[in-house]
Amino acid sequence: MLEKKVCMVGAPGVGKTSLVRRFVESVFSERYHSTIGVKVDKKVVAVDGRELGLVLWDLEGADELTPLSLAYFRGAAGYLLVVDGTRATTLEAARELRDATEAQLGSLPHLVLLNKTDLPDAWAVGDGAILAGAGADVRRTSAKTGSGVEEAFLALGARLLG
Amino acid sequence: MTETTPTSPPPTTHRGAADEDLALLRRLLVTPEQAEVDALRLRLDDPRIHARDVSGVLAEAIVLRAREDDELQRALQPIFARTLRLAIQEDPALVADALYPVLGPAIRKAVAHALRDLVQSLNRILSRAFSIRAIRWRWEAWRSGRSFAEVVLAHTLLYRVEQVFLIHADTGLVLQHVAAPDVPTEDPSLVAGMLTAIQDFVRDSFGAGERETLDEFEVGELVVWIARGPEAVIAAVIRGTPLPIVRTTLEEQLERVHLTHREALQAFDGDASAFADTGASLEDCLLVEVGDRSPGGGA
Repeated sequence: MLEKKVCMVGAPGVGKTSLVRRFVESVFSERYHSTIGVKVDKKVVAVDGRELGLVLWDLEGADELTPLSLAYFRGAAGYLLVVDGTRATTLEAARELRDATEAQLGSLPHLVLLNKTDLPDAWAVGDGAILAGAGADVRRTSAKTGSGVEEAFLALGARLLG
Repeated sequence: MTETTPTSPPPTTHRGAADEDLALLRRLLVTPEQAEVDALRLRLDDPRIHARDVSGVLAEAIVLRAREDDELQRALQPIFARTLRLAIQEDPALVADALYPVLGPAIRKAVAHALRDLVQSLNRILSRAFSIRAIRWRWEAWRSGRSFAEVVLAHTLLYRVEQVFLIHADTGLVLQHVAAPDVPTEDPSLVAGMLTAIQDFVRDSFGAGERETLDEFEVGELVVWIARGPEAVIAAVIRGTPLPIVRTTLEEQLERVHLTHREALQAFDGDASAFADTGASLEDCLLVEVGDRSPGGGA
């Protein structure tokens, strides 16, 4: 089976781990986040009848206090950039993360997930337009209800095989 | 009064016609030769044609000259030396990668030699030790024809290699995985990913170089031994206290994979099917050492 390494990044508390939990049944304890800053999970998706194993590296939330370790990005085929739709600052953090990633590794296939659509009243990032440039696929998800989660991972899978 | 001069055809006209005729004649006579001369001049003037011509006979010329004497080797020797020095200066990793399958065995041979000396001195020290257990083991050594140090090691060191992972160095994706019978295993992709993450973490946290690696770590009763090559990493999950032969075996198999699958390793894009045939090599690493009291205790 074909496998691809995929990283999940975003500011702390945007719901990366909840999204992964929605998508896969984890084997490793979430304590790994606080110890080495990453937890690896895997989900097999079917893209155009082909099986693709997404090996998800869920990276500890990155902000100005805990900068993203780009060492974990080595060999990644693509990544998911997660934003908390109720906190505008996480949108800016996501943009910085993307700039840092692209400066170091060049352009990689990626999806932007505006998470927490289950809180429409607190929505603060609009359509996430500042992240929409350069052909990025911006989607809305809710780790709580599961809305858009499976579709997002499938879309990334399709991009990696496309 | 006007003076008229007799009109005569301008001499040039005749001469012009004659010239034309001559040119025509020349063309008729020498055109084929002229074309050949032009082609030859082109050959002489165009260095690309020279190069093409020489390339056709170069290998043969080298063989012929090398049969005659050593002049060619003498002439090329300093050039090769300079080229190699330059290549190492510009990209040491390139040369290191190329030499990796060759250097490993040479270094191991030297280390094995040093270890043999160490075991001999250990033998000397142990032979002086006196205890009931030591007497029993010495008796066993005498009976079995093994060295005393070997018997002591057989009684004190027990291990079993339970799982071996071959991991792509860059992506952390698993290329091949084997496990001893009856060993419960998690998804190898996850374990390979976490092993890689731990390596990255250690490198990142302690500022170690790209080629430096965490060689081993312990998790309860298990110890994980890791060997790293330029393109792939081999990791063994071992229960107990392994002997150095385990590391040697891991390194040998890793070198073999680099030798036989270099191109597949460099072109790896997530499809591990090219590494299906490395299973047998990895199974060679599933070593077991049982420390019972029988002379053939090791398996």
